Amino acid sequence: MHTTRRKFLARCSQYGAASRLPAWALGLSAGSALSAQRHSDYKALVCVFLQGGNDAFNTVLRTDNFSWERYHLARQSSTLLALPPADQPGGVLALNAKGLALHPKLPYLQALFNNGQLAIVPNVGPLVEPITKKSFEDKTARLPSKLFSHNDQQSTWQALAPEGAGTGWGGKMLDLLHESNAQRIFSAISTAGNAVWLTGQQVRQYQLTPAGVIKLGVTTDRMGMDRVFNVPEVAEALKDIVSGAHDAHMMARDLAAVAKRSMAAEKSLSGALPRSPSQTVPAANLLAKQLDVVARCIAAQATLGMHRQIFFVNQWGYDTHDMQGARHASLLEELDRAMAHFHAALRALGKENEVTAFTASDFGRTMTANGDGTDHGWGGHHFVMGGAVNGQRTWGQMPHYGTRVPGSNQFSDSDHQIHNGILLPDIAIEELGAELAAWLGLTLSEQREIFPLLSRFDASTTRGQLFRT
Amino acid sequence: MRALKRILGGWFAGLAFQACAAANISEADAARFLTQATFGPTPTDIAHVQRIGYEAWIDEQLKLPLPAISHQAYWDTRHRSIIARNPKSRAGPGEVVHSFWAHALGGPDQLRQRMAFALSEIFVISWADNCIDNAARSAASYLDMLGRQAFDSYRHTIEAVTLHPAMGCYLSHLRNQKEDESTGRMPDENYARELMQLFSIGLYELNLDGSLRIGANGQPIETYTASDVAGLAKVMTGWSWDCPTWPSTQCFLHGEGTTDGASSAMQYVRNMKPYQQFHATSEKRFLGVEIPSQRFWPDPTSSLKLALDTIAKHQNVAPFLSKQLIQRFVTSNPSSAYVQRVAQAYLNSQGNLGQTLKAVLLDAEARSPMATSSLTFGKVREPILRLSAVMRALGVHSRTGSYLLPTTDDPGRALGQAPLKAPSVFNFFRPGYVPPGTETGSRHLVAPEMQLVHETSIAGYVNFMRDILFAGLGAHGYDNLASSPDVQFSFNLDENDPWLTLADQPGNLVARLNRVMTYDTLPSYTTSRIVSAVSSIDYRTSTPPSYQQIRDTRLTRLRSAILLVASSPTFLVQR
Repeated sequence: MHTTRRKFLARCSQYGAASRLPAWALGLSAGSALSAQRHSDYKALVCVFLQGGNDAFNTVLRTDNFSWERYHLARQSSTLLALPPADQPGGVLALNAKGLALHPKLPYLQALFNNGQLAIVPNVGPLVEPITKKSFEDKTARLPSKLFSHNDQQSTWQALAPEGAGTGWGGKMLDLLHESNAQRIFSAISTAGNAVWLTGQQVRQYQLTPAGVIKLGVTTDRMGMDRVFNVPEVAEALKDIVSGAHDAHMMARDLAAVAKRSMAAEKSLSGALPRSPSQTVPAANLLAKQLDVVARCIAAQATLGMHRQIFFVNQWGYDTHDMQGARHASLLEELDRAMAHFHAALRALGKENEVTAFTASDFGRTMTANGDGTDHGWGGHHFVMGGAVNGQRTWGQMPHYGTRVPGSNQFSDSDHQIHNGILLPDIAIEELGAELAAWLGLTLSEQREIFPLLSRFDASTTRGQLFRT
Repeated sequence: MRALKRILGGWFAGLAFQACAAANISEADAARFLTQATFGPTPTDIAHVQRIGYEAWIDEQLKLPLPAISHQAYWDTRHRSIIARNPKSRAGPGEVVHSFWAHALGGPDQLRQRMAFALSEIFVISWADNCIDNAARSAASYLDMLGRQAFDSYRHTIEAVTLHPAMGCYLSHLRNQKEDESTGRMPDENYARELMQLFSIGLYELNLDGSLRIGANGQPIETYTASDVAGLAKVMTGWSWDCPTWPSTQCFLHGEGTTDGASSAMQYVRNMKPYQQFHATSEKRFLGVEIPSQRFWPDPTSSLKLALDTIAKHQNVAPFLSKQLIQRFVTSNPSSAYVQRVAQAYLNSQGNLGQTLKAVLLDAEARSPMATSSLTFGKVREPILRLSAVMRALGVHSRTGSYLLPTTDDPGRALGQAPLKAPSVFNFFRPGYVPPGTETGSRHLVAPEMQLVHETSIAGYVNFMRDILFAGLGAHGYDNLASSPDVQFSFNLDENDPWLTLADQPGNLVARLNRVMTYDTLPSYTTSRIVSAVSSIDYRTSTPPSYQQIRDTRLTRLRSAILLVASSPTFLVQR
């Protein structure tokens, strides 16, 4: 998989002037062909999307007396919404970090945190510039569009723009990295349908379900001949018709292109994909099944010649407007077990230091309760998991929790909370994304290409390093 | 289905009589119209449209009565017989799926059924959520409601949607309570937000032609803010179960005390009832109207009426809904003039959905024969409509008569889509979905249904079609003890099926499939590729050929030809 210098420069020109070319590119010796192997090691990034808007307040908890009291005050309308303290049965799980705990159904993430393989990114969310409570209230701050709307905020997390965005920051990272991969089609893999996060200017996502690779239409006999209804001619016609651009309609051509990719990918992947590296996938756990097939892809990394990969998995159901107590507990239990399964699989493969997984979600939720549930919010707390992660710490500051002003839904005594106790994000998605990009090996100038607003956020040095290496 | 087969025979016999109709509608034109308006053209319907014309066909459909057996009635019948057999068992979402397909495949009221399906993708509930999964009977009733409302006014429909307990459960305004200072409780905002964003007005102000209105600052104008959501959320308090002890608190909170939606309790199928003691008393402000404080006489009914009147009168509803209906029936990217004409029809009919749909289907842009040669007009067929079109075109038979189709939502093994099983209230796909890295996207056009298309689902679909053409589909009878799946293509059952004899002439066979499945739009390359592949199939080795050899040749040719047409990108795009 070598590309010519001319082709390479042509591609680079899409990303801006030569002066902004990354250092590694400028180090090319004149006249030599660029080696595709920018990276010969392996790193993979996995986005675990918590679809529906995860309630961050009940995922990572502040347990100092002051915060705990205010959290309970906001959620006293239902006994199930405010979690019991750590010293009570079924209480929150204390972390080896001052004043922090996790939801009772996250014991594995607790252990990972305490072992230094999990970090918490507090109060992260979409921003277009740094914001304060004052600039929000007097409307001088520019805001992300379509806040609180599911589909638009999912898109904003993944593509920094509301629904309709064409490319996501995962795919854009891979635009700069995928030439290291022998089989580019497997650079970006989703197990959960089309995710804009994975789409770059050039990078397209490949869809794989937990069932593994599906061969289109034909069955292949022992002699290697494809047949449909046992007839080779029908198999040949089928492959030609579904994947050939014989119909000039734009959608017909788009469909044929997907079929063509499906057939090509199946050919490469079906032989290369090993069995699950770990024994049993937790039963009735769709997220674990998705992460299991991701682990199988990672196991095939060397066979396929992959060096940089990103994966998207999705867990439905976080829009807990009602019956949150039971529903959220069961979702987090599923998440915890799925992450445990994935981590065990990575350990079995010896790849726990080469893979980083992070959570993302539409938005956080309200601190106030609507009875037995919570409503749409903005900022939320998230996890970053992996052997390379500088774990057992928060990357940034937990927000200060306030109290609701009687007769209104305002939280005037907190600089971090707006109506209904919704969190005003402290960390922009760009800042988290840039850290992940840097870990994958992208330079600062490349990070700025991917995250054009990054320079607005003065990366706070007080946060320290999200990654060890 | 027997009737369908008889007519199928007649259709083949009548091939000679193609000169047609007052309206001078060709077979291909009629097939194209019926592809837009129904679950797929049948020979009977094609002939009928040719005879009476498009408008008369629509008017006839608008007047057809509701089905004799509702989804709920079917569900109840099945439920009774299931528990009679095993008291611990019960009917579930599967029975709703059966009933959906029975009406989609065999119902004479195709326009109504197709509209109910379209509305189920706009006013979404889903049994992917526990709430509906556990209350399948309620979902059956919801689907009946959409059928009843299909040609009614939008205002009546949005009220029926809002008050149905399936929607109340799905978007959690059922049991929603007023704010409470002592506990800090706030009204649930879920339904208030999605009602505005998805069911009525959308996020930005629209012109009648569906384009964005631009404000003085050069930016689009938001239709509502967070405080409108909070105000409307108060309106959506104080609604809950209709149960015998209404308006008791017990009834509000727990209904009849059962959470088993399979029970015969009427609360699952009757509109939610108002509970004034749980309705917000503070003033409610939204969309420029204000409901004054109701401290002494809180009235959920009058609050809701004002809210729905306000929403239904909003200028956005006509273009917002019209464009989505065009997308569900005709094309993903209508011209703004087309949207405006339909929106005008909506306004002229006081928001009547039947008249709006008629405008969608009769519009010059929909009917223009030039459209079939456009490279952009039309839409990707969603998987449910692909399956229904193939089954209706070829004819199927359900052994039980109940169309025991399976759930088809697995993208790797089935269709990646099942009725009433969208992953969220945002449906299976979004009206504004732009498939990444595609020609459609590069033209700045949308293709909502492409959200379901990917490397796995495209393979899963072809494999699914291949398998059902051979073996049929569905449960093996009610008891799962029958020898074969319940739903079978007629040509697999009946050796005299006219499609089989047609298979003796591959050229004619493919031409016929091209007519009824793709209204003569298969590229000539594809047609000849299929004809030559099909012609290569010939097991008639002895002279004279044995009965078995003739039958195997015909069956394999026919199945192959159908699969190749159904897999072709030409079939997958409705234009």
